[in-house]
Amino acid sequence: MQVENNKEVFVQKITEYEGLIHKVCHMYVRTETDRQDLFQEIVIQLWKAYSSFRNEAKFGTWLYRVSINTAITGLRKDKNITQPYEPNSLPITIDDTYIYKQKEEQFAQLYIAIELLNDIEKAIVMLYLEDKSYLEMENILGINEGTLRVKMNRIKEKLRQITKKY
Amino acid sequence: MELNDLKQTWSETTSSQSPLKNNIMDMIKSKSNGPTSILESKFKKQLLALPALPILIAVQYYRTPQMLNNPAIWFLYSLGIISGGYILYNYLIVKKLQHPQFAVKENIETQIKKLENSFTLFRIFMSLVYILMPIGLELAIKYNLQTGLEQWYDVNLIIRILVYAGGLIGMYFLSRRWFKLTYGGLLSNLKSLAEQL
Repeated sequence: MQVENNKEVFVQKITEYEGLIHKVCHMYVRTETDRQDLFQEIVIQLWKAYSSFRNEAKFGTWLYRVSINTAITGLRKDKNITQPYEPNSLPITIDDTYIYKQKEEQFAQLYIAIELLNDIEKAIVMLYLEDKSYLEMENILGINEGTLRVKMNRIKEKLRQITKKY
Repeated sequence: MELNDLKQTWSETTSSQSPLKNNIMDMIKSKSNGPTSILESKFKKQLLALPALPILIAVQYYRTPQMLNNPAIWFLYSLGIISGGYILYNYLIVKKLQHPQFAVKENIETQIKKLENSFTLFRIFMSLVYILMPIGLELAIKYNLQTGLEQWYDVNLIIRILVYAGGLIGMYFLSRRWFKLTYGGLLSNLKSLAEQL
C-alpha cells in the first residue's frame, strides 16, 4: 500500500517535472528514439533513487543531479556519438522570411558547436540556458562557483571558435 | 550568435516536447539498460548460483563421506565461499552506484573510489589465494597428507617453485584482465568525466 502510494506521488512529481528531463535528453542525445530511451533510463534511475530522497535538496535539484548523472554515466557511449546535423532535428519554428532563415542557420551552428562540447560542458551549458544561478549549478554539479565561472567563459570562447569555423 | 541568444529558443523548444509514448508507471516497471544495471544483473545471477556450493558438499558427503577429509576439497570450498562473499560485495557496490545522492562531481569521485577499492580488494584476495595454495600444498607434501594430488609430490622442488611463480604471475594478469572486462569501460568513462570536471 505504502509502495503504491509512493509510486503515485512519484509519477505525479515526474509528470510535473517532465520538461526538465526532456531538456537533459535533448542536450545529450540527438535522435527521437535515443531520447525516448534516455528518458526511460532516467525515470528508472529516479525511481530507484527515490526511496533515498530525503528533501535535503530541492526536488528539482535532486532530479537534475540524477538525470545528468544518468545521461553521462548510464548511457552506452555509442549513443552519445555526435550525429551529423539534420535540419529536422533543429527545434525551432521555421519562418519563410530571409531573416528567420538566417537566424535558423545561426542557431544550427550553435547547436552543432554545443554537440562538440564534452559531457560536463554540455551540463554547464544546459544549466546556463535554464537560467540557473552559479550557486544552483554548484549544488547540482558539485563544481564550485569560481571554477564554474571560469569554465563558462572558456565554453563561450570555445563555442565562438567552433561557430567561426562553420 | 552568442549562447545568451539561445536561451529563449531553448526554453520554447524543450517545453513543447512531444508527449510521452509510454506512461511513467510502465517505465518504472521496465528494466534498466545502463551499464551498472547490466553489471548488477550479472552479479545477481552469480549470487543465485551460490547455493549450489552447499548442495554440492551435501551430495559429496552422501556419496563419498571420506572425500570430506581431503584438505584440498576444503580449500576449494573455502575458495568458493570467499568468492561468493566477493560477488556479494560487488553486487552491493554496483547497487549503490545506481543511487546517486550527491552532486554530479561527488558522485563520479565516489564511484571511482569504490571501483578502485573493489579492485584492490580483489587483487589482495587473489594474491592471498595464490600464496596460500602453494603453502598448503607444500605442507601437504611435508606431512604426507592425502589430497588426491600425490603425483604432484614427486615433482622436483625447483619445478614446483617455478610453477607456483608462473601461477602467481599468470593470476596477476588474469585478475587485471577480469577487472578490465567487468569494470573497465565503466571506470574509464568515469575517469574521463572526472578529468572534465
